[in-house]
Amino acid sequence: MGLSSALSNALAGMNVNQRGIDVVSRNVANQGTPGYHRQSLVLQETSFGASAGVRPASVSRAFDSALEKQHLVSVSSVGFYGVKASYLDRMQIELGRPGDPQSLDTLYSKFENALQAMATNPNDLGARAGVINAAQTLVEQLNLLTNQVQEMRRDVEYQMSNSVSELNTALKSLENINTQLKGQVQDPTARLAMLDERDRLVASISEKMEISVNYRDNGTVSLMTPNGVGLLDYTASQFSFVPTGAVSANDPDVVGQLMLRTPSGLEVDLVGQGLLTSGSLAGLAELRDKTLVDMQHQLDDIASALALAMNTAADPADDDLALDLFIDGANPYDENDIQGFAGRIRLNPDVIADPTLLVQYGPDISLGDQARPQFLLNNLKTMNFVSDHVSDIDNGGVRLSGRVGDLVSQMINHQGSIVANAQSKSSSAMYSLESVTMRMEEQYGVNIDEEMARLLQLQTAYSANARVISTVQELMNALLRM
Amino acid sequence: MNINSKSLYPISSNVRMLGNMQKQLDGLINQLGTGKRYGNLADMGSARLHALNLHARLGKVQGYQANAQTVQTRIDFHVNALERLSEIESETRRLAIPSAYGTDGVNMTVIEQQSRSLFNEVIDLLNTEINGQYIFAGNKSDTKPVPDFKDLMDATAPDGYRAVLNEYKQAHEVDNLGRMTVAAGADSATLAGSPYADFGIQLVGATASDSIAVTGDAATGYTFTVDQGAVEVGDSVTITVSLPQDPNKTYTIKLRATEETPAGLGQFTIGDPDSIGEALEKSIDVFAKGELAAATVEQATNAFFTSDPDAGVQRVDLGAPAYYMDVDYDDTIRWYNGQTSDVPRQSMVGQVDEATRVAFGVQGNEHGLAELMRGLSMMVVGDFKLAPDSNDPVVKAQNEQKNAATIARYESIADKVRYRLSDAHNNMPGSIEVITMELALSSVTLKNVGERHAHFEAQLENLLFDVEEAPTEEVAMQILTLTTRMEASYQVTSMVNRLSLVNFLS
Repeated sequence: MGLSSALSNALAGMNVNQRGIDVVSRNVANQGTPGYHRQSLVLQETSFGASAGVRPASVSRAFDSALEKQHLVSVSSVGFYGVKASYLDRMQIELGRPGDPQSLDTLYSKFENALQAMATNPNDLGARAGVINAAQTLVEQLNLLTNQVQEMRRDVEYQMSNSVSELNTALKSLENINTQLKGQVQDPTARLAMLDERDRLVASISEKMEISVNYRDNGTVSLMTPNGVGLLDYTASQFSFVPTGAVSANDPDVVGQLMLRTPSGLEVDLVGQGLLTSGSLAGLAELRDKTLVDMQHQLDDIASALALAMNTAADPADDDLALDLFIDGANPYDENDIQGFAGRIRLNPDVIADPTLLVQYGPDISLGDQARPQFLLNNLKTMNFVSDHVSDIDNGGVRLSGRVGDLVSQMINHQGSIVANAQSKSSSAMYSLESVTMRMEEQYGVNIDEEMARLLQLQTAYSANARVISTVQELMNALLRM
Repeated sequence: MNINSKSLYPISSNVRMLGNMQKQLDGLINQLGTGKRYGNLADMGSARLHALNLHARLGKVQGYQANAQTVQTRIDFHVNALERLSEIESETRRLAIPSAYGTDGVNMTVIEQQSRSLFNEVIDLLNTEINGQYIFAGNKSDTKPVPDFKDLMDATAPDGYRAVLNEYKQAHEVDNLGRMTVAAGADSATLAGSPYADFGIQLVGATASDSIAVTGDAATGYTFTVDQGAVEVGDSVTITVSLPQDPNKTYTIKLRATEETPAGLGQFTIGDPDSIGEALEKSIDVFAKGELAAATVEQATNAFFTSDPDAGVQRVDLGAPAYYMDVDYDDTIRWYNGQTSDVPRQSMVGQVDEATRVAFGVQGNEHGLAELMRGLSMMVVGDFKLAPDSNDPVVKAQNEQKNAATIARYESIADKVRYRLSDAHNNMPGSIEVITMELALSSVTLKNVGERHAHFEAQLENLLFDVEEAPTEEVAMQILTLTTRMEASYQVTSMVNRLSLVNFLS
C-alpha cells in the first residue's frame, strides 16, 4: 500500500495499454489481409500483497476449428467444380450453339442437304462438289473437336503434374511450421503469424484435394485424405506424377499417374484408387478420365455412324452401291477401330480426286444414275446406330442412339447440359464458400470501428495511468520537499 | 508464400454483387448487339433441344426446297421441248396427206426438205441439255441420247440408217422388180414370184378375162397367153401379190387391153405380141418401186429405230440367198444411247418431302418420241422428187412410169406415217401427250409441296425466333431496370463505406 504500489500499478497499466495499442495497430494494419485472424490481448490481474496490478497474459488469436473445417470443405468443392466449369466453358465455345456455322448439327445438315441435292441431280458437277465440300468441313470439324478434346486432356494432365510440385512445397512448409510450433521458445507474435500461415497452407492444399485436418493443442496439424491416407504427420508425404506417354484419343487409358508416397514408404495411386474425392485435382482427374473421354466417345460414335452409313449396305444386293466415302487414316473404316476414330476420319482421297465416284458405282454406270446417291442418302436417313458406350453416371448415363442426325443432336444437347450442370454446381459451391467466408469474416475479421473504439479506450486509459503517475510524482515531490 | 486465390478468399459479397451486376449488364448489351438470347450452349438450357430440333427441321425443309427448285427447272425444260415436239408431230402429219400433194411436183420436193429440217429439230430437242446434262436420256444424262443427223443417216461401219435401208432395198431387190421375173414370149408372158418368202414380192394368184389364158400356179408362176383374135378393149389380167413385210395384205395389179399405141401404164395394146410382156414388167416395176419400196422403208425404219436399242438392229446378209443375220451389236450405230427402263418417269426421282418423291425422267426412246423419229425418217428417205415433163416421147414415158412409182410410194409412206402419228395414239403410254401430262402431275405435286414448305419454313423460323432471338424491347427494359438497381447499389455502398469511425476521429 502506498505510493510505490500506485506507481507500479500505473506503470503496469501503461504497459498493458501499450501492448493493447500494439495489438490494435496490428489488427488495423492487417485489416483485409487474406487469412489474417483478429488478435486480442488477454489480461491478467496481479496482486502482490497490497498492489493489484495488471499484466498481459498472452495475445490470443480468433480461431474456430469447426468453422475452419467447414471452410476447407467448401474450398475443396469450389476447386472441384470450378476447374470443371472453366474447362467445359472453353469446350462449349468449340462446340458452338445449334445453328452456328461451326456447330456439328449445322455441318451435318449441310452434308445431308448436299447429298439430297446430288441424289436429285447426280450429273450436276456443282452438286457433287457440294457433297465433297460439305463432307470435308464436317470431317474437319470432327478432327478439330477431337484435337480440342485431346489438347484439353493434355492441358489437364499438365495442370495435374503442376499441382504436384505446389502440393509438395505446401506440405514441406507445413512440416516446417509444425516443427517450429512444437518448439516452446517462441515469440508469441511470431507464433500467431505462423498459425495464420499454417491455415493458409492448409486451405491451399484443400483447394487441390479434399483433406481432413486434425488441429492439435500445440498448434500443429496433421493431414489425411478423407479415406485416411496420411499426408502430413510431423513428416510430409511426397506427391509425384508419373507420365506414361502422350495422351491421345486412341487409348483413353494411357494417362499419367498421380502417386503419393507416405513417410512409411506406402505408395498409392491417388486417381486409380479413387482417393481424390473433391478439390481441383479430383476435378482435373474427372475431366481427363471421364468427362472428356465421354465426349470423345460420342464424337467417335458420330464419326463411326457417318462412315458406316456410307459404306454398309443393309441388303447385300446393294453392296455395290456402298462407298468408302470416309476412311480411317489411309484404310477403309473398320467398326472395331472406333476408339479415337473422330480424330482420324478422312474423306477418301480417291473420291476427292474423282468426285464422279459419288455416282458411278461401276465402269458403265451413267453419271445421271441416282442409285448410289439415293442409297447413301437413304442410309443416312434410315440407318439406326446404338453406341457401345454409356457416358459416366455423373454425366447422366447417356447412350447415343438413332440415326446419324439424332446422334449429333443428342451429343450437342448432352454436352450442353454437362456444361450447364458444371457451371451451376460451380456457382452454388461458390455461394456456399462465400457464406462460410462471411461467417469467418465475422469471427476472425478486423472491424475497424471496434478497433478504433478500443484505441480511444486505450488512449484514455493510458492518459489516466499517466495522470496517476504524475500525481504520484507530485505527491513524491511534496514528500521530498518536506 | 503468396496466396491470392479467388476461391480461397473470395471478395466480399456486396462488392461481388456489383461485379455480377456489371456482368449482367455486359450480357444484356451483348444480347442487344447480337440479337441472340443465348451466348453459349450451356446458357440455353431447355431451349437447346428445341433449337436443335428446329434447326434440323429447318435444314431439311430448305434442302427439300432446293430439290424442288432443281426438279421444277428440269420439268420446265422438258415441257418446253415436249410442246415443240408435239407441234412437230402435227406439222409432220400435215406433210403426210395422201392424195393431196400427189400431183404437185413442187410440193413433193418441199416435203423432203421440210421433213429433213423437222427431223433435225427433233434430234436437237431430244439432245436438249442443261449444264451438260441431257434431259431426254433417262438417268444416263451424261450421254448424248441421239447422234447427229449426219452420223445417224449416213455413217458407215458402224452403219447409219441409209446403209441399213439400202441393204433392205437390195434384199428385196426393189430396183429389180422385187425379185419377180417376167419372161416375155409372142402374145404371152410368164410371171414368177420371188423365190424367197422373206424377200421380194410374193405371187398369190392371177385371173384374167376369157380371152387371156392363165396357166401355172403361184409357186411356179403364171403364164398369160393373149388370144389376139378374141381380146377386146377392157379385157384384163388381175394379179394378186403380197409383200413379205405383211403377208396378210394382198395387192392387185391389173393390166387392161387397149387399142392405143403406145399403151399407158397398166395397159397392153391389142395386136402387139410384145405388149403384154412389156406392160407386165412396167406394172411390176411401178409396184416394186412404190408399195414394196414403201414397205421396205418402213421395215428398215422399224429395224433401225428399234424400241429397245440394247437389242441391236436386225441386218440382212445379201448373199445368195439373202437371209436375216443374227444381231451384231457393233455393225450398226445406235439411234438412242440413253437409258431404257420400263418406267421412264421413275428413271429420275427427286425427294421433295419426307415421303414425297417426284418422278421426272424422260427417255428419248419412249413410244411417242420414237414414233416421231421413225415417221420423220421415213419421210426423209422417201425420195419424193418427181421427174419433169419431157417432149421426148420415150423419156416422157419413162418419167411417167417413174412418177407413178414415186406417187405410189408417197401415198403408201404418207399413209403409214399418218397412222403412226395419229392423235388416236395420244393416250397410249409414252406418247408425247402422256409424257407432258405425267410431268404436269409432278409439277402440281411440286407446287403443293412447295407451298407447304414455304408455310412450314415461316412457322419454324417464327419458333426459332422465339427460342433464340432476344427481343430488343425486352432487353432494353431489362437494361433500364438493371441500371437503376446498379445506381442504387453504388449509392448505398458508398454511403455505407463512408460510415466509419475513422472519419469521425479528431
